Amino acid sequence: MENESSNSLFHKAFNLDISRRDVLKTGSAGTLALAAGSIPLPFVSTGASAQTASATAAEERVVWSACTVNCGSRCPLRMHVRDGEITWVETDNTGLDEYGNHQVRACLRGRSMRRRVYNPDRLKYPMKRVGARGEGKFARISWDEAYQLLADNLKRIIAEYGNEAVYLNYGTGTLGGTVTKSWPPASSLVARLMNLCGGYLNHYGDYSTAQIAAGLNYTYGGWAAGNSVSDIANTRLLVMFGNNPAETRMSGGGIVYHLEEARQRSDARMIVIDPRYSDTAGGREDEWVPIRPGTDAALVAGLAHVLISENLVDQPFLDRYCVGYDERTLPEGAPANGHYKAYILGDGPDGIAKTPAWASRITGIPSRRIVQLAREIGSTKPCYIVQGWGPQRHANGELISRAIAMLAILTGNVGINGGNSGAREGGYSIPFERFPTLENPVDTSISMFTWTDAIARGPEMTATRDGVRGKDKLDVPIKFIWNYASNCLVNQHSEINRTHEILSDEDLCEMIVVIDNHMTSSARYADLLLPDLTTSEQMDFAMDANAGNMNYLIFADQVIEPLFECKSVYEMCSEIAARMGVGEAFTEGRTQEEWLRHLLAQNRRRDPDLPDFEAFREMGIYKRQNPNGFFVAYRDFRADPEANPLTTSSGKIEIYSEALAKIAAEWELEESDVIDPLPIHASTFEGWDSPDRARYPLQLIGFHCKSRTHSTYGNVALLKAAVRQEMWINPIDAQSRGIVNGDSVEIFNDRGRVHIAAKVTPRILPGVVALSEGAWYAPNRHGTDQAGSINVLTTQRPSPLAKGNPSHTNLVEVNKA
Amino acid sequence: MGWHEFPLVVFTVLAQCAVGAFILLGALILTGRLEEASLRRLNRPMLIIWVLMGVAFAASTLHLGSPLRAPNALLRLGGSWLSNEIFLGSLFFALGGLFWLLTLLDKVSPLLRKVLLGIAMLLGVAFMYATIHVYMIPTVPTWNTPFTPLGFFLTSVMGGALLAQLLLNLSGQGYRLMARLLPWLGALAIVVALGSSVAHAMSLAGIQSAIQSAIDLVPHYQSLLIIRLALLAAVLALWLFALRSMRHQPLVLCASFVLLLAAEMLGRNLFYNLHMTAGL
Amino acid sequence: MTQYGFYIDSSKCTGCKTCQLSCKDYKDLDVDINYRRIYEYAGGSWQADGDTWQPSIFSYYLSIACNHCAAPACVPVCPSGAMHKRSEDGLVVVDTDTCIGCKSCAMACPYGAPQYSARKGHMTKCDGCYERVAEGLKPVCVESCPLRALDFAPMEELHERYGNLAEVAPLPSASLTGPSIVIKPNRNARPVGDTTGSLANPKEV
Ligand code: SF4
Repeated sequence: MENESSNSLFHKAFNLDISRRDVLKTGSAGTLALAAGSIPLPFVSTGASAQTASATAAEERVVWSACTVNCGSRCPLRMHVRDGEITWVETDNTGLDEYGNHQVRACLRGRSMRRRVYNPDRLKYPMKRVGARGEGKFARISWDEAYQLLADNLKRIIAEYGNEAVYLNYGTGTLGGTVTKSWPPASSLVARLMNLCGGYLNHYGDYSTAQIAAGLNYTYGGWAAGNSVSDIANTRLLVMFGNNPAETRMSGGGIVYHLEEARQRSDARMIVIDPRYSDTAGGREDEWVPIRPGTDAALVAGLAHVLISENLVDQPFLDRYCVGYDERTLPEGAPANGHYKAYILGDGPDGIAKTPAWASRITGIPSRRIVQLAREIGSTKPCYIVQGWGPQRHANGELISRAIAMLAILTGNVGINGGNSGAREGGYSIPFERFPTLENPVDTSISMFTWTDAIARGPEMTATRDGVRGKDKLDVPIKFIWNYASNCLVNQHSEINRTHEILSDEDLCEMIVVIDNHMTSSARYADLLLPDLTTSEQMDFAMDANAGNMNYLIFADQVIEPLFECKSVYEMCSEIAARMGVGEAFTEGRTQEEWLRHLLAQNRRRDPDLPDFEAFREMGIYKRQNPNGFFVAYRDFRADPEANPLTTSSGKIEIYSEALAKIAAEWELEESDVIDPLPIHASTFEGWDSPDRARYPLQLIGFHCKSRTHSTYGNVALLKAAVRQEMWINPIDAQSRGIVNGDSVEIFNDRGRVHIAAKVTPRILPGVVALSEGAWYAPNRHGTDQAGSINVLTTQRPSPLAKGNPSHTNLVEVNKA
Repeated sequence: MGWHEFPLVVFTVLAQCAVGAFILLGALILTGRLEEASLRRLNRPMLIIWVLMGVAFAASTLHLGSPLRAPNALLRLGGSWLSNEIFLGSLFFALGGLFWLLTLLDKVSPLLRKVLLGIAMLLGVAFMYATIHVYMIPTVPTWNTPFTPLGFFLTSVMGGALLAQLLLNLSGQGYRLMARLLPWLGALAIVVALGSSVAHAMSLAGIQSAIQSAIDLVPHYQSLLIIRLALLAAVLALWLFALRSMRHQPLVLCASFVLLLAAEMLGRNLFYNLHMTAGL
Repeated sequence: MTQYGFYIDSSKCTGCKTCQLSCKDYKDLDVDINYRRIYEYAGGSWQADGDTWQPSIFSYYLSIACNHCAAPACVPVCPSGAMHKRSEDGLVVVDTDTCIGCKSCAMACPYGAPQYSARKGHMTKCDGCYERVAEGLKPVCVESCPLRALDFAPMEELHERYGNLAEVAPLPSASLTGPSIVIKPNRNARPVGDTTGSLANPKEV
């Protein structure tokens, strides 16, 4: 048996002494048994080990749990437990796995959950900061002290500055739960607690979708829906703008799986438009069109030029359903020739015809290909045009998101089976009422991206310059931050060095509370650090998957006892509520499990098909097909636009937006920021055509690393080794810098420096480098990050309309380190 | 260039030198009609051969992940060349050592000892043959070439001849015909080694898999090879110099042998670093 | 004897490595041991044309564990007999109680399957989850694949269902060891013997 028995993660992680901890005695027996049971020896002739295997097999339990991270999927995990220790992680193994009633299979990350639970980085007990902010020096304190410290400061700050000085930072570390969800923060238990204590400063938008949410809101009204990914089974042509489910929706019950299954059924051609030859392409695409980052709107304009001049647009659709395509539907207040057609054909204010040749120079795509592409899109019906969220995460992302949707609109693919709105794919979800978090008495709201500014210069921030909502300006700066299951305090927020500077000044933000599982780079900046339970250590219901036509709910049961002194966020908030004098109102007398039973019972009253608590617990995953078949976005609107108007001010699809024209006229914008009533192409700061390219010649974009969900799982050694953190660079750019595959390089601009290995690969457009977001920031003595954390290089300058993060708009230079 | 297979480098080089020397001296003993006194004088320093064999085998166990299970290495005798190698090597060590001991103690009849000697010499040859086959792996294109047996054989000849020379001179028998022929043998082997190394290096250019080219396996391969060849030239120079000047002869021969070990270990390490498979 | 083997659909494989990690979890492997390895083979070039670029590049993944070959390279070189081919299912397994850790099998295998564990002092490798197979289950990796790009069955079945291809670049010629695999090639796949591409992720395999 050799060393098998020492291979307990639990032991390795915490290096505990067997003789002193009972739990470990059993743990050790458990691993021995695991070794005997799952890594048996072929020639074990000895009856003894065979006996051990069968004797302990009986003791193994399987408990359903879930992976609750922000990957856009959601996976059930079947935890195999022996003697109170998770021995291995299985996933959905139910049924025959036929598409439509398929298994929801966890990805590599979920399968590594055991190493996240038993991670050496786990926070073990409450701690308070003793060094400087961010230095990472903490002293252990009792829970009582922690609660008291928190409540005292909260009371003090509310009394001194008011509730608007309290901020719930964006955080998606625990997603899709019912009790434990950290996102949206307004639906978290922390929000419930704060709402009982007078409220907090709201935020709008999110780091994933700020620009598209803001942009398409003016096109379609509200969050733009997309056809179910399953509907690709009904299309003939699939056009993906920066959509990369193979790296962003990786569950085996999620979008990438649906995409491949649906395409097998329709055999639709797939065109992938992306600066990277992504894993979604990877030989499955019929055509890959590499494009310069931030220029998708120019490509669309070039395509539109062909569509319009070759009469491939759906004129009846444009006339009936849209506003502002041509003079026929241009709103009255708009300038003459302010319509889209004029913009494209060169009759608009800029006088430039957006010919394929024009677009070609901007996008880097040969005009011949643009013409072909336009003809193919214009002549293939239905056509599923879809955008991921990479194209919009730019300084001109609002315009880009609207421009891509234009393609679907021009071709009349909105509201039909096999078509799409041009937004990201949608799907079905099972309605389920969550933990009530009550009303926030405070109306004021900022863009989630501007919280560092709100700390540094809050009262200077206005509605028309900084996008403050609910008030003309902020009255107080942020003084208290709740950071629950969030690494956005440092790692996932742009321009880490600026954040560091702002947070380092303890006179600005006075109290930072971090609730998390691990010592993240954000946790290092806490004043008070509260160790949270992982999903494995508590009971919850998990949901919110993007999952095409088949959605599901997961009973995430408690798998193991809480480790160390960790406590659930429910218990923490209850205790703090009690100290704030709202204890009873917070818990309503229920425990976490009682809440879950209560919520399920309530939901069953509305939806009797839901299983009862015990049945749900037993089945682990409850699946349901969309009872209405394929979800088609705006189907009703398409059927009868008068009876089912959109929520835009005109009730129609607004190609020309009067609301945006007004904003463009009224807002104070920084130089080179563009807000336009039409979905035009605009150059940006640090774009491909920026003069700054003289100094920083390479465009740097982020992408999603397969071994992390943003930063979650970023401390699991096995995952780090499986998909290494690397900067992608084309051999042409590498060669001119003397870089070969695997070399250590320095990426830098005025905001910071990063050292990381180079992946020299033809899979990326020359002139562009890419670094996956989410690596755990690890500065050396000189402040140079050694982990490949992209936010050392990104900017805090927000996009014009959404005031969102332009994470992919960066210029850098790269040298051999 | 890594040295992760250093135990094997030591094992193969020392064993090959020891076997080479043993066979050469054995041939002298069998055919040279040595009188009893000379035989005993020669036998004494032959201890060095067994010391080298001992070091070689000790080193080989360092290569194992579970040295305590080393006996399991014999389980596939007849089937696996590694089993055969270890078995034949051990048998050679045992019988050769027995011959040496019996000669030292002057036990059993000289004829019987000669029979034992002959058997041990044959075992030595078989041992060398098995070693070659351990590395003639069809899936390892850089090893599965005639250069592998040639290289191993040349190590035996060069190292064996020089070691035999040293032992003969130590025992005051440098006057014998064999002792006078050995430098020629050594020189010939070294010249062949020079030529074949170059040919081998050139042959590497033609070996590649989808992901690996033999010429890329060892950075600075050519420079390292030149160092090895220069060392071999120095070995020969010292060897010949030692035979001309009578003073400090054993010392200079010793130095020459040490250089030869260095050259061959470097060469053998290059060999191990050239490992690649036909696939991944 | 039934010979079991793997089906590898490289046309579906997105290189997500769930197979690798589910195996590492189930078998409780250390960081540096990969019973299943995902090879990224990529190549090609770019042509500049004025302001524009035209790529002619390719890349694809191959998920390779142990191929439980008909004529395994690892078995004949093993001096202890620890590395053996099971008669009941044709799976090639190392008896970790016998193995002396001489690494001969690792030197011989052209697929990188046997890997030495310094901590354990012996060789380790994919055993086809033969215990699960005996219970009628498939190996953990196969059941984990989010894209359903892996399968495991008796070779006759695999041949019937998926054909006979057992070699594409960067794998070695199937004639060397007779791997018990069937591959569905990616559209980008290059034939065995191709040297126009390179292994894009040498440190991940
Ligand atoms: S990270 Fe997402 S896809 Fe992967 S297991 Fe977790 S929920 Fe599933």
